[in-house]
Amino acid sequence: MDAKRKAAGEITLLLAAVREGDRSALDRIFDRLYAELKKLARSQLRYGRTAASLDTSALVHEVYLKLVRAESLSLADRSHFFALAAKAMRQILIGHADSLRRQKRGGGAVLLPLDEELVAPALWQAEQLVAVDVALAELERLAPRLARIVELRFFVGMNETEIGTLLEQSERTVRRDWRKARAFLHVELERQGLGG
Amino acid sequence: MSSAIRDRWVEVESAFEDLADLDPEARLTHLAAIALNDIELANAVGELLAADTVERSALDLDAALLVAVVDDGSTGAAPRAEAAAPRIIGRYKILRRVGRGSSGEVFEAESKGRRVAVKRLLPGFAGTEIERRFAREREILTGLDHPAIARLLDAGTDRSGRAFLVLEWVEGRDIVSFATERALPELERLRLFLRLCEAVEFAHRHRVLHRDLKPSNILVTESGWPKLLDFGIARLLDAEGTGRETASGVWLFTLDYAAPEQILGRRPGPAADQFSLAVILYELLAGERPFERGGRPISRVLRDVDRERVPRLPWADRDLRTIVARALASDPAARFETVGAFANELAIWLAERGPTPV
Repeated sequence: MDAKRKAAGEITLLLAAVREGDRSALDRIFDRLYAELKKLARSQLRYGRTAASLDTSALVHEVYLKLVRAESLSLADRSHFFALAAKAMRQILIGHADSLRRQKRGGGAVLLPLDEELVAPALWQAEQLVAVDVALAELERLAPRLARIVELRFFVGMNETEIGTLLEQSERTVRRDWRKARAFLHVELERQGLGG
Repeated sequence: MSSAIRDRWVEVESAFEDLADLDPEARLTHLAAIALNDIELANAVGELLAADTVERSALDLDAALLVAVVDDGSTGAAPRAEAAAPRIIGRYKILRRVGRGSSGEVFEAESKGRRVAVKRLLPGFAGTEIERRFAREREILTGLDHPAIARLLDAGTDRSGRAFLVLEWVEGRDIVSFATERALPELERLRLFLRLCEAVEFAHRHRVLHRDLKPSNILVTESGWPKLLDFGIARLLDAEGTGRETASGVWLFTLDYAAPEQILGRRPGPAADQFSLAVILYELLAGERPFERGGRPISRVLRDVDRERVPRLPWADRDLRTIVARALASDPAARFETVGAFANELAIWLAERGPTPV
């Protein structure tokens, strides 16, 4: 059995453990996803892409193919997998924005490895992204279901149909939930003085 | 949004959903109605509604794009302006839009000189569960031919592929306003109510539950006949489905007619319709609803719903009180076996009281 096959089996086993209530398995999947996504993002950037041209959705799907491969996951497991991948992607992008922000402000100029090849975006955008993350954390507390949709849409770039399939909801429901989440995040951004 | 109201997010969310698709004027009316009972909730919902109208925002991009690109103006939420009423649906000439819910809209229309009501799904439901339910309701209604149930006349799909139903047009007042405006004596109110029961019982015999019986779904025609609207579709077409309600904001009160098992999310049976009927009867007789759940936090309604005490009918007769109280029992098993049995008890009580009017 080659290494890739082994990795695939591992994720499937971990998802099964999650299903049986093993919370620590969640963390282990997340760590794997985070590492893989970051590696992929970095290699894309090395081939001349900028952060703006990162296709986050393609990245996440690539990670899926790589880690899960031929294993056929149940819908529940798939949905779990992508939710975790979205969280990982969120953390990578926010980490990036946050380090840029700190760098611009002249604070501790510690860069994540990911940042090396990036064109520095405007501070405003980094601020905005971090603000979204803070607002989203609040939404997560109030309505985890809505927060999940935001992660899949905003951080992974999935469309309503894809999200609907994944969460076993109609497109219409996803659209309605997105609308509520969007309005809430706006209220929060407003409060942070960043407008929309 | 204060932190106290944040912790009531479920209520905020559901109120936002109810108001989001209304036109600005209706929104204000509804907001004002909420504010009467709960100023905090009204403020929070108002804030969300305002935020909802922001047309272009960073949130409509995706995050990776935001890291490096300023919004170029090409992406953003579609404007949510109300579309003009269509001129024609199928072979029906549309006269005006009379109502709009979150999944469908209702028009007054005309064909060969006959006035009809056309209900059409909003775009975006093709292939969804909602569309399948719409189709199923159509089959159900086809089998329901009763003088007190608005008749299904036709159904089809318009050019854009959206399903529509054509129903008998009913001109009338809702049952409670009708009784109030005509100052009907109590025995007359009971007779009117019994005709309504007959229609519901008829539907039950055809294995159809209404699930959303409330005055706004029951119109009484000039000649004094009740007509049941939105049979089974009410759940699809939502609150202001017929557009005939008063400005008081129907969605706030719908809760007041629902049986406890419905509110608690259990599968409602015919006994749930019986409960709603009894609430309507109570309102017809007492001039007010037995439960005012509408203005209270949903969490509290949920907590209290199966131990609500039915206030006594301000009514001298013990027998009638007993009948109504039984139909209003919070345990569905404690109610009458069928709507027919409930109506029967009332009919017997009525026969002992007064002669049948000519």
